[in-house]
Amino acid sequence: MGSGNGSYSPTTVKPVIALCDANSFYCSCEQVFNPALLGRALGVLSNNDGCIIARTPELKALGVAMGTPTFKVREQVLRGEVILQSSNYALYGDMSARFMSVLEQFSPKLKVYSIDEAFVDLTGLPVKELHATGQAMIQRVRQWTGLPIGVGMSSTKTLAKLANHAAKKYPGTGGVVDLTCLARQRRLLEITPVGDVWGVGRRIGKELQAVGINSAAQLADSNRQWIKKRFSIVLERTVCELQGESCIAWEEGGLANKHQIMCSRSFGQRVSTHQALHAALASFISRACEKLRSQHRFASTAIAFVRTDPFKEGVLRTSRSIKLMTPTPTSDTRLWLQQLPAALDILFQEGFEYKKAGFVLLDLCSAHNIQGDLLAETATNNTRMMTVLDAINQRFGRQMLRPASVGFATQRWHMNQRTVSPAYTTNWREILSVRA
Amino acid sequence: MKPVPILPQPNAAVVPFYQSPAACGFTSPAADYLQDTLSLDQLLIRHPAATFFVRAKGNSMEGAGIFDDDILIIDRALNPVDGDVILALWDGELIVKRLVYRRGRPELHSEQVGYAPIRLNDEGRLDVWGVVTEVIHRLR
Repeated sequence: MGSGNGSYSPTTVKPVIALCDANSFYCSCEQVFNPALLGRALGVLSNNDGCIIARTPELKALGVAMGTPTFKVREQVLRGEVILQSSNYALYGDMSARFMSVLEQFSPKLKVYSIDEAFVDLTGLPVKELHATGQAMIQRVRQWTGLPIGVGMSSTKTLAKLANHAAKKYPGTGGVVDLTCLARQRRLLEITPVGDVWGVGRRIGKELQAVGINSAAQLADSNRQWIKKRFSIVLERTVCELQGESCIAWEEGGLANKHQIMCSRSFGQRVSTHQALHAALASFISRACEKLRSQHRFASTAIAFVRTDPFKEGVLRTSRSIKLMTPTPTSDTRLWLQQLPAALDILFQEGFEYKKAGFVLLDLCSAHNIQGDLLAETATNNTRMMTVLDAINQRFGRQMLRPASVGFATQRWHMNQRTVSPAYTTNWREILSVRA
Repeated sequence: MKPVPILPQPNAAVVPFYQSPAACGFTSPAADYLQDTLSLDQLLIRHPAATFFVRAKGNSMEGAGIFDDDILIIDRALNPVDGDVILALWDGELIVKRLVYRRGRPELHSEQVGYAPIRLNDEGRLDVWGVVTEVIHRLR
């Protein structure tokens, strides 16, 4: 299998892009290792067990919406109708890597878009074989990893996304929709609400409906110039893509290209002291900069924020954020940490119970597009020590070496995870036990 | 105190195989024969994306060389055939058994005296989780 014969000319062969994504990915990962969860109304919770972020079809059928706060399904959990699991990112990350590696067997050109979805370039494959290839992808991912996936195929990313959406929505498709055929493309566009189109979203969807554009087909038929003027160049690209003209570059978007790096957590226990908040933010800064360095990138702007629980009644509520800058782009943890005391003077207020804090690096750039500043120190040259720091932590475990400001006390603000499943695939002590 | 150079380790289980230590003079005659280091992963894992480890609990498969607390290597990429030891989903539980076909029907056999084979009736569905390819049994 695989498409790379290299002999076709890209100008004569129509591109074929498949979007493959896992169904209820987090829930499916849990079910692979725990058969008792199969067929159950299962939900996976956010970092701090605060709300539901993944649902099985059975849970969706009970009318439990995405983002439902955990306490709202408490009764159903006690009655045993609903099962909730804390998120197990060690497991999901490993299963995601396996999923992507199986997809790679079908084409060397793979663009991981998120933890549970990837675009696969199938250009050059005979049209007649597309549907069977989609089925083979489903079968192989299922057999190798246990994960159920859906596949949508078409000539652009936006159309592939639409095809994938249809594969999910209509069970009769068996999980594969080949939308390379223009007539079929047209039929699907006509029955798809404009808000369901990738890149449109609810807000723009409403605005489009206000001007009489209700279906994806109507959007595809719109005048590009008018769309660009009335809405945006981004929506114009969506129109081009719906018309079958590829406008979103292969490398664009997705994990590798995010424009920000965020490290934030909801605290397991409320944090109310300056010291604890300082330690938390320092650890987020150190983690964010580590991520930045692993991508060989730099940043000159960041935002630090803190807030109390917005849902809790009867307590003082606050939410503050502050923008931090460095003279030149940098990935040096220390340069960001230096600014933390001043930032905290503004962020921290006595008498509040903080629920969440975070640090977001913005305006990310690579070494080649850094503009030099004559007056500022070249902060980017200062990377050797950081490289050593990362190497030590990679070898001896995260946080083995850390800035002293991160603190040494047991971290009370750590994730609050009451029902997390074992790290089945990443920790020898937690591998699955089976009866023999 | 002497600084120790630290490099990210690409693979935790690599046995180093040094090139000729001579910085000058003749190179080692063995240098031409240097090969990759021996890797257990390479020996035991054919399909990394499909390979999982589980721990066996119980003694029903001792005849197949699987003892309590052994670690089993499971390759999900393989299609189970008659005679394979498999991890199967049976009655809501994951169990290790030998897959045996009798008159075209799959049965799950233990390898221990006193265990009856599990026969699948017409409604019975056999879900194979994966094929057991290796057993890691500690001797001390």
